[in-house]
Amino acid sequence: MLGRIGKSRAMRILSTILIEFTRGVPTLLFIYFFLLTAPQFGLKLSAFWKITAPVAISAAGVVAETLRSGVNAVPKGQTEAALSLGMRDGHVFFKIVFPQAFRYVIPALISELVIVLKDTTFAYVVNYADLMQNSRVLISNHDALLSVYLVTALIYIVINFLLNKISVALAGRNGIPQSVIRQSQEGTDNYGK
Amino acid sequence: MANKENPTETAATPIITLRHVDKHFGQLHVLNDINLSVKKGEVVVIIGPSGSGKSTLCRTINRLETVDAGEIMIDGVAMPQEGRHLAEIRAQVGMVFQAFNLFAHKTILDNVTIGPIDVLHKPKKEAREEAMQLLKRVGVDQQAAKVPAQLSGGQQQRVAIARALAMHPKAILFDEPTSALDPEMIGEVLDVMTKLAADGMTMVIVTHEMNFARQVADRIIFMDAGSILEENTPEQFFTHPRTQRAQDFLNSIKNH
Repeated sequence: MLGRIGKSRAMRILSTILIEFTRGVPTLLFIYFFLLTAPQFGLKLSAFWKITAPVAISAAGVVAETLRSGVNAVPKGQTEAALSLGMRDGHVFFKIVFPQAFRYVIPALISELVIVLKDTTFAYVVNYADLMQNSRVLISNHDALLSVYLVTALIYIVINFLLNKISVALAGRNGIPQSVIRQSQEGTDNYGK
Repeated sequence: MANKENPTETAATPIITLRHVDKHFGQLHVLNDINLSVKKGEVVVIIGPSGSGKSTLCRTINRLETVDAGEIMIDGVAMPQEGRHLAEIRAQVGMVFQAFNLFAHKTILDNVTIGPIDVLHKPKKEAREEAMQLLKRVGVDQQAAKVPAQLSGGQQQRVAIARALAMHPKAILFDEPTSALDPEMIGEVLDVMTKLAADGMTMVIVTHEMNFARQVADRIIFMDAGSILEENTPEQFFTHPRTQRAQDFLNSIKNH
């Protein structure tokens, strides 16, 4: 994220390639890479990391782009005012621009967090015992397809709902006007992918 | 008084010096060979039609705008293009913007203390006490715990002036400080500025408030099409401008 808005041209190009790559490739493909290809190069990971690493990588690109859009949304006058006080570039960014940028994108970041949570259902591919995997075991043992699926869905919804609530509370504590929070809630209430 | 007879005092270096400053936006020549010097305690008001380059000139003085050529000196020290040294010199020149530009995520008090704490490394307690005094001076000390969005435009602009003052600047630049304000709030900001001028602050002001300019300025600078066309005393300028262009400009605003 820093690379793409930085002054160095080489860093910008490199970061753009990296971000576009991680954003553009489906999570499942990354999972297959860690599951099937990585061991050929001697990279042996536990099932937990086989699901965590690819989900993290594919989320990282999205998060980077989200933060960048937030940084771009901070009015230029904020930077100019900080510079006119004699603040150094690094301080201007980390004390003035980034804190505001982060608040702008909290809703989008929470949406991404919800996607990450749902991506963890890919864990069945690497045979890691996540929520879905456990419910499948339950189904085969008790022959209760619909009720188990409903309960599982409910658990996911509750977790996502809590994430949303926490984000709103966080945003409120950081002094974001209520109207902005309400908008952001509308943005993240969309659980469909 | 004794100082006035002291020859070193009369030859004192100006606070702001611009020499042969040139700037283009593409084909547009926004600043054309600008030479300007502002003495300590002087109030210089820049006026001119919109697009004349007056705002750009004001922003150039602390290098918020880059220039193609020319030299900018603050208190006798040449301003570098970038880097640590530029930040150090910027800290000596306050700036008040048309859009206030208060830090939206910080309280009024923190807006005023961040400069002294972050740049001048003052102890927090000392910075806060001084900030409260400054806020009182501009009449918004009651609002210290609020965030900028909760204040009126006039209050925000007065906070912005307090924020600039907190750095103990050698001069303050005002870039159309009342242009974004409702008419009933313009007065309260101009009052603060008038007091500052009376206290001997060195000021460069870009404004459309002609009555204020006439009252507070030591010198009027009239710009058009990127050039300084006329430098004059306010009395002379508003009654008998030397250039036809200035006369036309004054006529055009009188008709409104």
